[in-house]
Amino acid sequence: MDERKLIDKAARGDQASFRALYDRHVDRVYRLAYRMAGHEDIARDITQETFVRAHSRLSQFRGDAAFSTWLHSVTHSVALNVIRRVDRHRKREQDIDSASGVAARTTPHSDPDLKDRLRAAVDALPEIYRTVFLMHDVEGFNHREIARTLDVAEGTSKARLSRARAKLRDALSDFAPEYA
Amino acid sequence: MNESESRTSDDWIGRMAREHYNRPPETPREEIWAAVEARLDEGGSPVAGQIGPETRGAGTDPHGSRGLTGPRGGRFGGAWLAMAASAVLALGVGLGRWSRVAPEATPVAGTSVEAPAPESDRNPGATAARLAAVETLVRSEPLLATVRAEASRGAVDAEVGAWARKILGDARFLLDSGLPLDPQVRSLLEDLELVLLQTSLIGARDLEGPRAQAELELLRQGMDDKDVLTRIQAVVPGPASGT
Repeated sequence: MDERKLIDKAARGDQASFRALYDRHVDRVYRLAYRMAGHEDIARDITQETFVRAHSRLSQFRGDAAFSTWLHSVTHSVALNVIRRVDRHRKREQDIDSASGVAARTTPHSDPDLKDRLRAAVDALPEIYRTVFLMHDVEGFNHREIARTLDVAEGTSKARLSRARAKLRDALSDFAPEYA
Repeated sequence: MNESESRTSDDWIGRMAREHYNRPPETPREEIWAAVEARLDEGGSPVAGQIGPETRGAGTDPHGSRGLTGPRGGRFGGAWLAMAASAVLALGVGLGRWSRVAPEATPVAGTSVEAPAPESDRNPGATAARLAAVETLVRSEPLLATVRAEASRGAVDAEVGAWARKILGDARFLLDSGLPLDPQVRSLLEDLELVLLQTSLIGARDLEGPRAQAELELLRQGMDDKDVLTRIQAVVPGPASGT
């Protein structure tokens, strides 16, 4: 069914239509949430909150942007709010992970040095660069989608990506021969 | 989907990140949908779009609000209570939004958490924020007492997890509302949010054994380190804790 019709029906309370919208978009929302949060439970939480909020705001969706873009802007807003607050307690979260063995979920054959350095480098990016990098280079959003999601100009999105890459290139230059 | 002009010499960084940075597992579609559906059925957890007059009807299905047996022998979270609580919270936030016409009026000066803030008389937004915050904290207090008891016995059951999740939604809604919360109350709500998040996650996962013990110990430590329960009791009006 046409997405606009699904949105209209869902806004009028049709749960099946909302489920259909959910099925179409949940993977990408979850993937973005996971890339941003790096924790399964928090990503689930962000995804859930995104769809609950989206449901309550469906009647406000005017169709100026694609539904997916609108949804991702909700995801981004929810994720940042959650992550900022959780970050203050990240140390505690890490303690939970190590105490419960979650940290051992890393792929056994991967190079721990590479993973640690990559994590440190990406996490060290200012949030505005990190988000654009994760959306564009990692999750495959284009600059138009990113610009509308973050409510910035496309040029701003490109500039931020460029800055993010430059910082990562510096931080990870010794891995370039292997990956370039 | 991707812009090929951007995928040039720098793509090795993206490739490395795609492979090794927070690589998502399969989406737990049904699990998330079940949680979304439960929230929608409850209808009592106000979310951002429900602000304003239309919020009155937030609880479309009064039977969807699950009751929970609390530590004091009564039923917490009956349908009417959930709806009333939601209405108070939504009213507070709605009032705050409505009254934030003059944002410069935000009072920040050293308002004590314990003492009623006289400035709030001049700022309906601050009054609304306090009203909504106190309402959330009042509902949290019996939950945290239950969590403490559950942690001592080494398990948090799924109903308590769901209870925490419900209040978590309201606490987040309040934190994200942009209302001029007293800094100390905001800090308390942020600490509470983490406790609620941990409680809901532990409850949802139905953990057992050493892992449950470890997480519960951390939860309890977190509550103690931040003195969350005592701070809540200092903020909420006296009679609420003496039923």
